[in-house]
Amino acid sequence: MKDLKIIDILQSPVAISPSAGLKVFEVINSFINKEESIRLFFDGIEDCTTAFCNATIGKLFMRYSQEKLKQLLIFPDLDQFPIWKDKIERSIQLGTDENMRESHQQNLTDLLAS
Amino acid sequence: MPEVQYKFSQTTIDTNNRGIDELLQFYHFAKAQPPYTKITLNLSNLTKFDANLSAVLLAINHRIKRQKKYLFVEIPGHINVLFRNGFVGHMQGKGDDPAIFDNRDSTIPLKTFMKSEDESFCSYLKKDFFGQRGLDDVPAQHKTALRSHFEEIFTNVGLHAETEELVYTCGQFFPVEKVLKFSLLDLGVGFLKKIQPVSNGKVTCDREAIDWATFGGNSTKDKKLHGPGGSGLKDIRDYCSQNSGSLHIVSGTCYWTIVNGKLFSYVLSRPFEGVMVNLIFRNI
Repeated sequence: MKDLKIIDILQSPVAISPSAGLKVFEVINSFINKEESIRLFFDGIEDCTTAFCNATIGKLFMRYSQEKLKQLLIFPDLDQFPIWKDKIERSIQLGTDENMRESHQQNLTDLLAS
Repeated sequence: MPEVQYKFSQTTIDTNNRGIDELLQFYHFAKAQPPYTKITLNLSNLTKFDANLSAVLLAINHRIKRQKKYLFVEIPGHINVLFRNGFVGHMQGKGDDPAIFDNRDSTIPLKTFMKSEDESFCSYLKKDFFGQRGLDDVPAQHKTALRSHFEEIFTNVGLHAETEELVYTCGQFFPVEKVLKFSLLDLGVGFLKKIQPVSNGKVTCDREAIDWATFGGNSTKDKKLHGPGGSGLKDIRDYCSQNSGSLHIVSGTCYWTIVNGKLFSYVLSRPFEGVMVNLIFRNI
């Protein structure tokens, strides 16, 4: 099992841009492709956004099955960062579930109608 | 050199549709002047100017300068926050000079960033914005959540507003009222021009373009590149509701705001050429 720290990949504690997300995605993807399991650590990260999470985690869950990623990718220290945990969980839902993405659009429609 | 004077028609410039409309009316007045005109904006009739909106004034100044006109702002003593937050320093061409900034109270400095400068922006939020002594009593978890929302706004403007121009940002904390106001804007192409071609004809006006951008309606191509949509707006909306706050977005002639979970939109008398986001948090 490979331990990866986001801060080491980015060489920065700032994980907010989609381009930073894609950088982390590419690293994780290279391991998942080879069926290698990963422990991804947020330790040291000071800033994290939805755009980053979508580009990293959301994109992985669009590409691979949830079952596969549950086996190969774990987040050992995410419980320490509740705000980012919510963002990651939403990215997983959006990446996994086409219905969720459609529901997201429905929320927009509902809001416009309100 | 021709010279013209301008005064706002209202006595307060607040972070709402009326305040923004006043600023835009001034911009379009200045835009209509011939090159090499000296334009003096006299603020003496104002009783209040939300300091976060100095970001808008600075952006207007940069745009006017590009049109080869010269803006001078006459600031009365009771609006001295514009000296303390760095606005005057910027107008004097001193840029983001930290020596100008006076951090005695809740004043939050006016700054400019390239949209690629995400590390500098985060550093500004941590040190200059939430490092203010006026915000010392705000619980750490509140600060972390607020910072996260501001970062969401910064990345969203970068994603949706195609621009290599500067991003302008400024805040103001009102300690007695416990209200925090934050503004971030750019002078890019605005939402509509960027979004209309990729929305398959669904987006036809400024209001729909803001809806599209803020609710993560990315194109299929964007989803393949950036992963699924989802702008983080829901978190901001929820947080605003819990803290009697509000989210305001301006692009083109649309002033779009969510207050207590309800969406309102207004048509402005003149268009804003770019994207502006204002956040107001209460009970901080």
